[in-house]
Amino acid sequence: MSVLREGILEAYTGIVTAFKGTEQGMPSSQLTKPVAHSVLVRLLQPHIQDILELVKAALLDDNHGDPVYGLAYGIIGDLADIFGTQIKPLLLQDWVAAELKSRRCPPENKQTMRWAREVGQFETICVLFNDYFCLDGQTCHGLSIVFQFSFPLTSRGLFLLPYHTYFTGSTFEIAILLSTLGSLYLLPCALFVDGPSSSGVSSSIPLLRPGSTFFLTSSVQSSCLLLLFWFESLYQSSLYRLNSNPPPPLHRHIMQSFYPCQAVLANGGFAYHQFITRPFITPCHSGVVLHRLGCPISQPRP
Amino acid sequence: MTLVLQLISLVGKVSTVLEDAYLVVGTLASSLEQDFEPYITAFLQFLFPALKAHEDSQLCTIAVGIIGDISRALGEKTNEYSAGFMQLLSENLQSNALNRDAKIPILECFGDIALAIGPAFEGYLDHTMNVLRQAGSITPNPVSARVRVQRKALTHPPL
Repeated sequence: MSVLREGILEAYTGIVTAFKGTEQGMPSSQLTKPVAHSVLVRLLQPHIQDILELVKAALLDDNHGDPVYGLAYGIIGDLADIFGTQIKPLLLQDWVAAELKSRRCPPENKQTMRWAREVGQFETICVLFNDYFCLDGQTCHGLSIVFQFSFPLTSRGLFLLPYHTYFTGSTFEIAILLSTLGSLYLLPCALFVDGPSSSGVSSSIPLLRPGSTFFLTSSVQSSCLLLLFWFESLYQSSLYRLNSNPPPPLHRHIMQSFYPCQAVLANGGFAYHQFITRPFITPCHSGVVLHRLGCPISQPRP
Repeated sequence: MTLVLQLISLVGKVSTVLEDAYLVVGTLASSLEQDFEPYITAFLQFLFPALKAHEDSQLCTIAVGIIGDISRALGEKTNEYSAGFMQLLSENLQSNALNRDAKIPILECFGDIALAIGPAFEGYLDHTMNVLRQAGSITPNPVSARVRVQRKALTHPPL
């Protein structure tokens, strides 16, 4: 069954991509004929429902392997990219959002998921900290940690920011966004954002596309303390589970602000694991992640 | 390439050698990319019989895979051959003699061809979408799902 679905999804992916007419991998003749392109896309339109039905069936079935889910997410992303607002009602169905938020999967699917989320209704920030990371009072040098925050537009708290204002445009704007976030708690933020510049990108194409994870390298500790606090709060909460001690109030507060978020921890760009703050991460998950990061963790005190 | 083609014509029905020979061609196509084109016409007369060998599902599967390789290798130029490919692939899908498992790669192959020829796939769109819809409407039967769960429990015991 998995193999069959994988085959069908492969075929859909090929066809959808063929008709997509994006910049990459497209016959040059196509680019000069935008009218012909829109006709092609219209040909595809009657089939969207069928495609999404299959994607749904595949995603809701837990027996499939990761390649199936990866393809399914990819198709959602492609369709959203091609049709944009035209198929918004279809993409806003509950199962799409639930799937994009909940699924645990390996790195490559993560990328595809991120892509689907971006062109859909979800926002993502990736931050890579170099050379500064604090766990349990220890500073670990040379660690590269990617935080990925993804939250639906409906999320509460700090991140109710207008999508189009901040997530499209140049890296500069994202730097502003991050410093804004930082300054909610801590002040003057000096951020150095090193990433693909995307000046001139129109509002429908967010900056962060697959493969263009943008990096925020910061030797300035204060700039990212908010994010660090949040990670620490996750860590603390896992200690909390182990020790039955309540986490410090500040951490608890921050955790609440981030309540609907999830994050991915990674080393060198490869995602290892997914944290979900709700209700608490389990101690073993946290241990696994930290261990794989090569970070000497002190064992939680009994 | 000439050697491989000679080999294919010489071995006749000895399918293990045939299979390997076809795999060689597939790999050649993948690595030569556009440069593979001169050999296509010569090769197709060997490929098509293999595609039609419905009773030998292994060989058939390999042949289907090679169509995928060729499509990826040639890109847009696949267009000249795609009509023949699509025709044969559709026949294979409808064949009763062909093993069901061997039909799945055909679906993937549609995707490869579409990817290669881009908008020129338009002519096959409706047909392909029909096939895919039919394939997609197959649902797993509950018994096999239960067996799968049990198998999973055996191979992946809960920690």
